[in-house]
Amino acid sequence: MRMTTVRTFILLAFVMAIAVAGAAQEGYPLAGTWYGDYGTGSQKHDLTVIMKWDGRTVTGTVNPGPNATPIKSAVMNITPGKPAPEGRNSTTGTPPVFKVHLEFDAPNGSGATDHLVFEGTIQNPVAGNRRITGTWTAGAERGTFQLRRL
Amino acid sequence: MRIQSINLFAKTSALGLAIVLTGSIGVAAQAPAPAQGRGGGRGAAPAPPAPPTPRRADGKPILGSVPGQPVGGWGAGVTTLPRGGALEEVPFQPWARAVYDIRQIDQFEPHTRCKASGVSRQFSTPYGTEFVEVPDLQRMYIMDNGGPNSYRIIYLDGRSFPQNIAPTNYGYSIGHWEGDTLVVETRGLNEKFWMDTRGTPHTSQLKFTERFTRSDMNTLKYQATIDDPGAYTKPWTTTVFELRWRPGDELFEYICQQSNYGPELMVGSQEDVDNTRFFVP
Repeated sequence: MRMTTVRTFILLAFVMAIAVAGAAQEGYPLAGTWYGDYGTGSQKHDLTVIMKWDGRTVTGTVNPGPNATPIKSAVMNITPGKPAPEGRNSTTGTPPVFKVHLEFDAPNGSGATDHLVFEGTIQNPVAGNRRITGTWTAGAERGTFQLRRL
Repeated sequence: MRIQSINLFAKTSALGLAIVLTGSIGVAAQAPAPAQGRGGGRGAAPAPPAPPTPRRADGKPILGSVPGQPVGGWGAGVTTLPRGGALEEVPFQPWARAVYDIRQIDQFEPHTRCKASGVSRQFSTPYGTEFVEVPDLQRMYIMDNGGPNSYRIIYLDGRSFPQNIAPTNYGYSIGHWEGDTLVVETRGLNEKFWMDTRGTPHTSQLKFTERFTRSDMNTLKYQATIDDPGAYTKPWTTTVFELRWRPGDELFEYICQQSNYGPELMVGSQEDVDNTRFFVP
């Protein structure tokens, strides 16, 4: 009975998280629900990140549910590109590059908390199927991560 | 080529609604369109001045077809919203300018995939729009022709915005008259469409205000103010665009997928289909 309640709560929290994120799909490139993993080698951990944009800052939650943790910092840094001339239907041009810096704390399984820092790049930032790939560090540990916008 | 499903029922219903509403205000359809003055060749007489703004009995301008005259519609008149002022004068947030720039390269617009595109994007479609006023209901419908072939409602009954509006492509529009200008504010917009054909970005925080002024029978002046703290550092106002009246233009059935002659705009060129774009940008 207790497990059923916990499962129901987790499921409900996940559904609500997706529903909230669904209101912001194509505007600010970081906004929305992202799902993927991070780790080292074959050891991967699931990672769900929900981010919201209020016009000034990004806020959000990592891994919604019983182990949810708030985002400590989420910043997008943009390197301008060289767009096609105004008014021309051109597929030429160098697109801007969208870099992402993300920080949060997460329990490490031994009772302590790790401070994780993610550095990545958004691929296809104006499309619905955008992704973030890059590297993460937690103290001396480091590895790669990938997130896909749901 | 990937074929996306189309809600045929919804489109057919919209067309049916248009026909019913058009009939409800007593506009005579199927009358031959009057010739437009084009000023022909050398020595041709100059085109006569356009007839004055048509008005209702209460003096308010009629923005759509005039009862007793041929049904008509407005041609496309809005291009890119920043036009008329230097792009640098638009108060983009840095991310929004970067998204605008990238959309000049990656021009996969939701509208070309048959998605309804709200506010000013409605007035960029080549087949134009039809304004259907229903005074008894104190509302107006703006019908899209071509593209998603859908419609938008503007409430004119003095109501306030609801507390929680479920974000949609057309949003929730309330209008009021300021002299001869219809001022329409729209809130509750989602982020799944472009505001113009060039991809001027927005967020769901957008409050979009439009000013419609029919300065004569053939001209509808259009200006918009974009208030979106999610994408811009301050509100900004576009130049004044002009839509031209096209007598005889009537809504017709347009099933976006069947009639789409620009498949290269959808998932890459016909010979080079980009299947990684399984979501509409």
